[in-house]
Formats: sequence, C-alpha cells, structure tokens
Amino acid sequence: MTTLGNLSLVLALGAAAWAIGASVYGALRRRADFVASGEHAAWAAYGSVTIATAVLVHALVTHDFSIKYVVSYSSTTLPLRYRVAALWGGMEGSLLFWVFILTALFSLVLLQNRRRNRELMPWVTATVMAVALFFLSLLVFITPPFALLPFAAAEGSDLNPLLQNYWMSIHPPALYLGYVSWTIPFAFAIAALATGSLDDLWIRTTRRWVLMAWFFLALGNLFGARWAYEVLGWGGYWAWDPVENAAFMPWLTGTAYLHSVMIQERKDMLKTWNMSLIILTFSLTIFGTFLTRSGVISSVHSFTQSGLGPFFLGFLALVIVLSAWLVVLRRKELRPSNQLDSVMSRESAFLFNNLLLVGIAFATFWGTIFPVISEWVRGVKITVGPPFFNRVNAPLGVALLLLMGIGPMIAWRRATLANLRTAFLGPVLTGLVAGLSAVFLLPAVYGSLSLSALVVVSLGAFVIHTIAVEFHGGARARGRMVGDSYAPALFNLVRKNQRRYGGYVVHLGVVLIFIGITMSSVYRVEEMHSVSPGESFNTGRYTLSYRGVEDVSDAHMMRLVATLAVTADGEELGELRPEKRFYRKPEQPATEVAFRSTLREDLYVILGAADGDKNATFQVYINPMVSWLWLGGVILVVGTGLAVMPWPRVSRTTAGRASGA
Amino acid sequence: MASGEQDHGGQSERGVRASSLLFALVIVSATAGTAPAMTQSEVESRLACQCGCGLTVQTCDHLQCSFGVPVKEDITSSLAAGETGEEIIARYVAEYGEKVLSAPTRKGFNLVAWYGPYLALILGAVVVLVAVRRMSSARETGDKTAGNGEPLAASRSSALQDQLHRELEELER
Repeated sequence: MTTLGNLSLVLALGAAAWAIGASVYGALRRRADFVASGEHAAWAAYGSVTIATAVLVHALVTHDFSIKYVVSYSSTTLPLRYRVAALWGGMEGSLLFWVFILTALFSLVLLQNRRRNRELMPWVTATVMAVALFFLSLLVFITPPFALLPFAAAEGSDLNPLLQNYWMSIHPPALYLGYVSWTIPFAFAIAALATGSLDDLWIRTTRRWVLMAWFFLALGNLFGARWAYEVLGWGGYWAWDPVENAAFMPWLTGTAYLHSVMIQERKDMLKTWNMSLIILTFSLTIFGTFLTRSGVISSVHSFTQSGLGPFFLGFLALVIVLSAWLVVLRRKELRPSNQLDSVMSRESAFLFNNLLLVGIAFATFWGTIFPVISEWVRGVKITVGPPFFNRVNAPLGVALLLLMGIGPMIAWRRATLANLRTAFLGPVLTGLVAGLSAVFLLPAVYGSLSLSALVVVSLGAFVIHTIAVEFHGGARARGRMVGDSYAPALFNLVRKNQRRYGGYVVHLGVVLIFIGITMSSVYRVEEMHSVSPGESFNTGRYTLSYRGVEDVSDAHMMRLVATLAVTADGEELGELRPEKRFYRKPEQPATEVAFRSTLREDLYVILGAADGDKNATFQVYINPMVSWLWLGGVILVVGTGLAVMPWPRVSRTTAGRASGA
Repeated sequence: MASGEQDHGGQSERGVRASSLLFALVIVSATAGTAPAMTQSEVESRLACQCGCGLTVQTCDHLQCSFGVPVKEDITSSLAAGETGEEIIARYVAEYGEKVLSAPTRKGFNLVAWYGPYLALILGAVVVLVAVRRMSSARETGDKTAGNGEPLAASRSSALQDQLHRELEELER
C-alpha cells in the first residue's frame, strides 16, 4: 500500500507540473487543446492525491505500524474517529490533507467553469496547480508521509492527548477549508491580472468562494476557541497564541475584502485595493502555515513543528513578489473609472471599516513577529502575549463595533446631515438607554462597573437597533412599493437581497460575540478550593458539594473522575464531573473540564489534584455570558447560510402575485 | 408640517445631547476610583510561562508544568505575605530577564511594539482621508459645473424610509 501512496504522490506532482506548463502555454499560444490538457492534468492530480490520502487513512485505521507516520500519531487503543483525525494530527498528514482539499475544491471550480470564464481558466489552473506543486514537492522530496521504519513497530506512540477531543475532529478541517479556499479567489485574481480582464467578472465568479473561505475560517477560529475552552483547562478560549493569530489575520483581511468589494461592484472603484486584499489574505494563509510549521515563534500549537520554515518563507516571498509585480504591471487598468460622490457616504464608512480591519490585522501581525524583531535588533528575547494584544486591539475593536452600526445607516453615494440625524436618533437613544441600564445593573449583578463592558453593551444595543431598522424599514418600504403585507414583504426583502440581509444577520452574531468576549473577560471569577469528600464550598451564587473521586481507567488511559453536586439559590442543578486523565501513550496528563452553561454564565470546574484519601483541589471559574460567544457563532453560521443559500429566482411580479394570493 | 417636524427633531437632538452628557457624567463618577491591588490571576497573566508553551503562567495548560505550577504557588504565598503584584513581577524579571513578562515594557525599543500599530493606523487614516477627499472633490467639482450641487432632498420624518426605498429600487434594477 505504501508503494501505491508514494506512486500517487509522484504522479500528482507530475500532473500538477504538467497542468501548469500546458495551461500557461495554452493561454499564451491560444491553444485550446493545451488548456484542456492542463485541466485534465489537474483532474489527474486530484485523483492521485485522493488515492494517497485514502492510503494514509487506511494505514491509520488498520494500524500499519511499518509506516513512521502511523506509529507517531496513532495506536491500537486510539478510538477510530481519532485514528481518522490523525490524518491532520501530524505534519506530513496535515500537508497531504491540505493538498487534498485544494485539489478537491479545484475540481469543483473546473466543473463550474467548463463553459464559463474560458479566458481566465488556464491562468486559474496554473495558479492553483502551482500552489499544489509546492505542497506536493514538500511531500515527495522533504517530508514523505509514507516513510517506512527499518522494521514494523509493535505499537504506536499515539496521538497527542490534547488532540483527542471532539472539537479537534472538526476544528482543523474547518480551518484548513478556510485557509485553502482562499486559493480559489486568489487564483482568479491572478488570472484577471495576467489576462488584463479586470472588470468585475472575476469578482462575481468568486463571490461564493470568498464567502465560503471567510465562513470556514470564522468557523475554524470558533471551533478552535471552543476546543481551547474545553480541553486546555484554563477557563478561557483565546490566548493570542501565534498560531491563533495566524488564523485570525486572514479572517480580518478577508472581512475587509468582503466589504470593500461591494464598492467595486457598485462603483468600479478600489480595484487595486481589492486585488491587494486578496493577495494579502492568501499570503497570510501561507504565513499561518509557515508559523505552525517553522518553530520560529513558540506556540501552543507545536504539534506539527518541523524544519519546513525556510521553504514556506521562500514560497511566501515568491507569491508576494510575483503578485506585486503583476499589480504594478496592470496599474493603469486598475485605475478607478468612477469617483466618490461625497465624503459622507457609505463608501467612506467602508473605507474606514477596511482601515480598522487591516489595522487590527497589522497590530496582530506586529505583535506576533515582534519577539523576532526584538531579538534581531537588541539581542534580547521578549514575549508578546495577551496583555499586549488586548490593550492594542481592544480600542480598534470598539471602533469597529461603532462603524458596524454607522455603516449600514449611511446612504450609498451621498448622505446629508439631516437624514443622518434622523437615521441615528433611535439607535443612539437605544444605546444610551442600554448604557444607563448597564450603569445600574452591572454593579448590582457583578459588584463593579467596568468601562469596557459599559461601552460594548451600549454600542451593541446601538448596532442591534440599526440592524432591526434595516429589516423593519426595508420590509415596510418594500410593502409600500410592491403592495405586500408585512410578513411576505420581509420574506421577499431578504430573499431578493440575501447577501445584504445575510450580512446583517452576521453583524448580529458579531455583536453577540463582542458582548460574550467582553463580559466573560471583565467579570470572570476564579477561585481555588481544596476539599475532602462530603465537604462543600461556595463560588458566586453556587454551592458545590464534593461527593468523591473514582478511578475509571481503561487500556487507553487512567481517569480520575470527581463528582460535585451543584445547587444555586436552593435549587439543585445536577452534577459536574471534572476529570484528570493520564494517557498511557504518550505518558501525559490532561484535563477534562466540566461546566454548566447558561446564557447568564458558565460554571466551569477543573479537577486540579486528588490524593489517596480522595481529598481534591478544584479550580473553579464563573465566566459570565461566555455562551453568547458560541450563540453569536451560530448566528454567524445562519447569516452566512442566508447570504449564500441558492434560492430559485422569482420575478417581482410572480412574488407579488404569490404574496397577494 | 416640515418646520414642526424640524422643531420636534431639534428637541430630540437636544434631548440626545443632554442625555449623552448625563450618561458621560454617570459613567465618569461610577468608574472613578483608585486602582485595586493586583489579584493572583492578574499577576499570573503578566508573567509568560517558560516551559515552551508560549502561554502565560495563568493560561499554561500543562498540569505538571515545571515553571507554571511553582510560580503560581509562589504568587499565592507572596501575595498572602503582603508582597505586591508589582514586587513579585519585578523579582521574576530580575531572575529571568524581560522574556518573563507577557507583554513588552513601555520603554526603549519596546515602544516600537506598542506604538507601531497606532502609527501605522494614523498613517493609514491620513491616506484614506486624503484619498476620499481627492476622489469626492473631483466629483463635487464636476457636479457643481453641471449644476447638480444641491444635497439630496429628504424630509426628516421619512428620510430613512426614502433611503431604503431608493436602495431597494437600485438593488432590484
């Protein structure tokens, strides 16, 4: 089987190389046969990579301990789902998984564009296959996934215990889908630059790909946060770790692109800026992969570190230089064919939104690489951790939240002071009322008033009011225009402008995420209690009664499970069962936190230690409103779904007739 | 009718201004006060774990961390003994150097870390402002030449509805 795996990778490498050569030659010489040959080679690359991936998964599932990778990342006692997840648990497997997703996504692009975008497609094929070629070269020449041991091992070393978690089964695939999907819009952007077809064709073609890439990157980040919350056992979900930052930065620049591209679609402006944002976002995905695998900056995500850093850095430099050269070459064609109507317009608000998003991305990048800069300049090692990122990014985040409310309320093209005053009166009053309520409620509930919480709650209420106005006002306007009653008018409004209203739903999700993050950071309670069986302790409004600890071990791990009965205000709320685990291979301890989650707060318990007499130490956190973060994530999913859902087109007259019936 | 609405709008505006002022006063008085002593978790979050995890002492996920666990115990006993958070942090900096701090100090070359993003943002804001002004002034000059310099007419009471109406029409075109 390993021969089949190796052969498949070599075939994929050859196919990718042929696809690049044939596509470029076909495009330059206008030879349709070569273009078709390039596309066929891309299909061949996809088929070969699929076979290689299947071989590795098969080896992991069937415990083929002659393969070094299988020995390093699985064992006979590892449950099946984690044996499959071991595909992305190590460096070689994760690179193979990456190129599998890339070639699979590109096969969809080929299907979609059999008859469309024929001028762009050879360059798209060449670009995507160049990226695939880079990854395949690493797999074939530098870090082969099917490397054999001198003799087969009797047992594997097992997957890192931190990765043996449900969220780890879905966090990396979501993140990789997000990362890899950006290659498609990037490839169309490069094709547009190469051909000079710089109208909005490539933008319309990649609209759903961009949303998909953005969505999966958001989802990957949220799943990662949830994984950290459940597995890492420190009561939080985001540590500004370099690799977390690496996934956050392309999401920020991608969000900026999603907004600024609307100006290009409407006014044929910001072509250079949008092109730059796509190139930057793709480059940041490669930078993220470099960070994870280089070991240049220490990270909690050190599962896949290797000596591949220089290769990724070289590839990144090549991408940036070639892309920048193409942009400079096409600078005349990228000039805007239109002008802004007024400084006071939604277009301007979008520009400032872009400035803030790119500003936060830059601040995050700067903080991530500053330890390296400090060592170069001063020869002194320093750490840039959460206090830096929170301090620098928090004000920018608040400004962004404010703009999220302002942007949709300003008219496209030109707004007047008079209609701004009218438009903002209600939302500002709502924000003020929410703020004044918070001034009294927050100290009553949490014992103090935090300025951060106050500002975020006020701005959150302001933004939610603007979103409500958009839906309500839009439905009424449509009702007047078409003659629909309110409910059908609202339905058709969303259906006919799904990207716009899906976007507003996403904004609502982001507001909840802001509130969840702020409240859980500002009003978090942390306590440590050492108790004997039968004893109780109080944390906040909760009373936790310790029943004891039991040993529930199996062949895979030793488990100490503590039981705590929870009551609040005299009401029994059930039991929490935090665990302390000791994995047998590798011999490593891990926590399994227990928490009770409500919209008001999470009661989060970690079993710190337990002795022979069953005396135990618990780390207890009360994280206010942290579930708003996850709820915001769900709303974000709904909003994105609404924006991309392929509803059949219904003409206005048909819709009007249907609603009138 | 229009002037009545304008008066009403003026009163609302004054109302918003007054409540904003009141709001600001309440907030300033409510949040004013002396800085409280640092808590255990605040001290832990100011120190970077040295076990290689890249996290802070507070967030290090290694249960038997050779650095994080003893440091946490030391912070607990030191705070109980009356040592301040700043004193504890200074002690660790003296022992391990700057790298033990979870964020750069605010002096010397480290100021580049703290102010670099803001300088870049200010520079970006200037570029955006200049670009927006340049792009819009070219259009406004053109508009005035063509006699279209009047602002969009919108009655106060229905300005928002009209804006939505216009945008919907534009979208459905």
